[in-house]
Amino acid sequence: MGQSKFRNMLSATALLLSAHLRTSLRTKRFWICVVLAAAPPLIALMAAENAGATAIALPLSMLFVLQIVVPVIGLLLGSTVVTEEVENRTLTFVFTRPVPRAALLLGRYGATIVLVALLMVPSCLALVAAVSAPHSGDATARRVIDIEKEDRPGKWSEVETLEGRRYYRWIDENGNRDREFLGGMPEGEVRILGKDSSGDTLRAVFTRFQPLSRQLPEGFVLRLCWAAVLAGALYSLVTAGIGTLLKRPIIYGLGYAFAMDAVLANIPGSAQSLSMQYYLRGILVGDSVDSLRRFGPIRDTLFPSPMMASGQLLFILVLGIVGACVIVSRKQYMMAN
Amino acid sequence: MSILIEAKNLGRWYGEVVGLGDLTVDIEPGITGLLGPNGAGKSTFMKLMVGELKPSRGSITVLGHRPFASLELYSQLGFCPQQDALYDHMTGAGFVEHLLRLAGFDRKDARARARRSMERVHLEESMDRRCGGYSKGMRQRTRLAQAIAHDPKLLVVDEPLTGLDPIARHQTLELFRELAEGGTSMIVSSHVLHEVQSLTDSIVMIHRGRLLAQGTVGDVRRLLAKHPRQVRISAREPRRLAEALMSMDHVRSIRLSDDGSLVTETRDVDGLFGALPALADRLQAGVQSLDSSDDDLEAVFDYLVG
Repeated sequence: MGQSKFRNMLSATALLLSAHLRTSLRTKRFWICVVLAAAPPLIALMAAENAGATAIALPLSMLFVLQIVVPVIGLLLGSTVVTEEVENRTLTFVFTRPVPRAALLLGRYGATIVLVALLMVPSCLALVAAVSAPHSGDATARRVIDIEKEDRPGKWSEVETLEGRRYYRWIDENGNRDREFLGGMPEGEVRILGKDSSGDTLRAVFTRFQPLSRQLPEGFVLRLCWAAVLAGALYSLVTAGIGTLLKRPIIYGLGYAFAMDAVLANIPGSAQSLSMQYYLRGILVGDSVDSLRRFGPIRDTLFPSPMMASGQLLFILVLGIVGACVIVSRKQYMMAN
Repeated sequence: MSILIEAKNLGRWYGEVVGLGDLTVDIEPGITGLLGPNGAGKSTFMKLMVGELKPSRGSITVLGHRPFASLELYSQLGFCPQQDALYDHMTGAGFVEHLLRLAGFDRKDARARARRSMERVHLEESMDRRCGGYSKGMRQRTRLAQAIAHDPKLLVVDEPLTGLDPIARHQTLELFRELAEGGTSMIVSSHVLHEVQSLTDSIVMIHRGRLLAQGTVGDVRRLLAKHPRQVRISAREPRRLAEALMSMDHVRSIRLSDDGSLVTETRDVDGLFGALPALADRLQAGVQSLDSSDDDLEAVFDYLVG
C-alpha cells in the first residue's frame, strides 16, 4: 500500500471512528450499557459495609464484571460495527468511496473500544473507590489478636484473609505450619491454642481493635481496568467479526460468551485455558498475590502471569481484527432495494 | 476512452435465482438509459457496475477497472442507489460532507462542495435539517447530491425519479442535462420510457436478466409501434365512433368500457392519432379525451420476448 493510500486509510478510519462514536453516544444501546456499567460499583458500595476491600472486589470483578458486565457490553456494542450499516443499507455509501473497505471495520471497531473504555474504566475505578472508602461499620469490625510470643524456634506470620480478617499462622523452624488461627474474638480474651510438639503452651491474647482492611493488593486497580478494557475489546470483536459474515451476531455472541466461554472457564482442569476468561483471570489475579489466590473458585488454578495472559489475548485480538478485515474486504453485501 | 462500460457474458445469480443471465454489452460515454421492467436485472447490473457485487460469471470493466473494491474507480464514480437509506441522524449537508471527507476532501472543501451539491438538487432550505425528517423525494435528492458532489466522471443512478413530484422530476432531469453538458457520463436506470427519452437517445434494454435491445429511442419506438397498444377514447358518440374505427386495418379490437369510453387496441397508434381528428369531426363524435399509456414497458417487453 502506497504512503498516500495508507494516509487515506488512516484518515478514513479516524473519520469513521469519530462518526460512530458520536452516533453511538445517542443510542438506546449505549444507555443500556451505561446502566450495566453502573451496577458493579453500586453492588460494591452496598457490600462494603460487611466485608473488606479484597473480599468484595475480587469476586465482584471476576464473576460479575469480567464474566457478565463486560461481555454483555462488548457484545452489544460490537454487534453494530458492520451489521448496522448492512441492516440500514448505508454500507453502499462507504463502499463506493475510494477508501479500503477495512477502514469501515477498523474505524467503527475502534470507536467500540473507546466506548468500552469510557464505560468500564470509570466503572472499575468507582468499584475500587467503593470498597476502599471507610465505612460506618468499620468501627465495630473484626477484632484481631496479638499473639503472645513463644519462646521457641519459629515465628508467627500474619496474613490477611479475603474477608479482611487477620490470619495468624505459626511456622516452626522446619517450615511446618503448626497453628493457624483466625481473628474475631472479644477484646482481652485469652485463648489457649494448645501445646506444641515440645509441650509448651501457646496462647493468644485478643488485645487490639482493628477495622476491616480497606486496602487492595498492589496493582489491583490497574489490572482490573486493563482486564476490563481488554475483555470488552475481545467480546466486541466476537460480534463485530460474526457480523461481517452473518446477520444477528448478538445471538451467536451471547451463545459463545455464556454457553461456551463461561462454562469452559468454570470447569476445573486444563479446559479452562481454552476460554478467554482464564486469561482475563490471569491478568486480574496474577501468580504472586497471595491473598487473591485464596479465593475459593480459583484456589487451585494455575494462571499465566498478567504479562503472559495479556500477550496471549492481544495476539488473539490482532488475529481476529486481521481476519475480520479480510472478510469485510472480500465479502459481497446484499442490500435490498 | 471510447468504451465506458464493457460487460462480457456477465452473469450474476443469487442462489437459484438469476439476477442477470448472460449480458454482453458495451456502453459508450454520454447518457445511457438502462431500461427494463421491474425485476429485469437493472439493479443487479448497476450493483455489478459499482462493485457492490462480483459477477458469478463473465466480466465487467468500468472506466477500465474491475469494479469490486476498486479505489481507482471509486474516485471517478458517483452512485445513487435505489434503496431508501441515509444516515438519519445527520443533516443532509452533513451527510454529503461526511462522504466527501471519506473520499479524501479536506473539511473546508468538503463543506463547500456538500452545500453546493445540496443546492444543485434544490435542497438549499432543508440541507441543515436532519435526514430523518426528510420526505421520500428529499431523501432521493440527497442521495443524488452525494453522488454528484465530488464531480465524478461517471454517474450511475438507479431509478432516480422514483418518489419525486413532477417539479422535482423536472429539476432532476435538468440537472442530468447540465451534468452531461459538463462532460459527466451517466447510466440512468428506469422502467419508465418517457423519463429516459427526454434525457438521451441511447438505450440499453434488458429483460429477465438478458440484453433485449441496444440502440436509440427511435428503435424502441418502432418496436413499440408494432406492438398492439390500447388507446382509451372518451366521446359523446362512442358507438358511432367505434363503427368507424373498426374499418381501420390496424385496429384489432374495440370494446365499450363501463364508464362509456372506448378501449381500442391498435397496431399503429400514430396512425390512429393521425386519423382521429378528421374522423371525429366528420362523425361529430365529440371526442373529449384520449389516453394511451406507454409508461408500462413490461407489456412491451413481454411482447418482444414472446
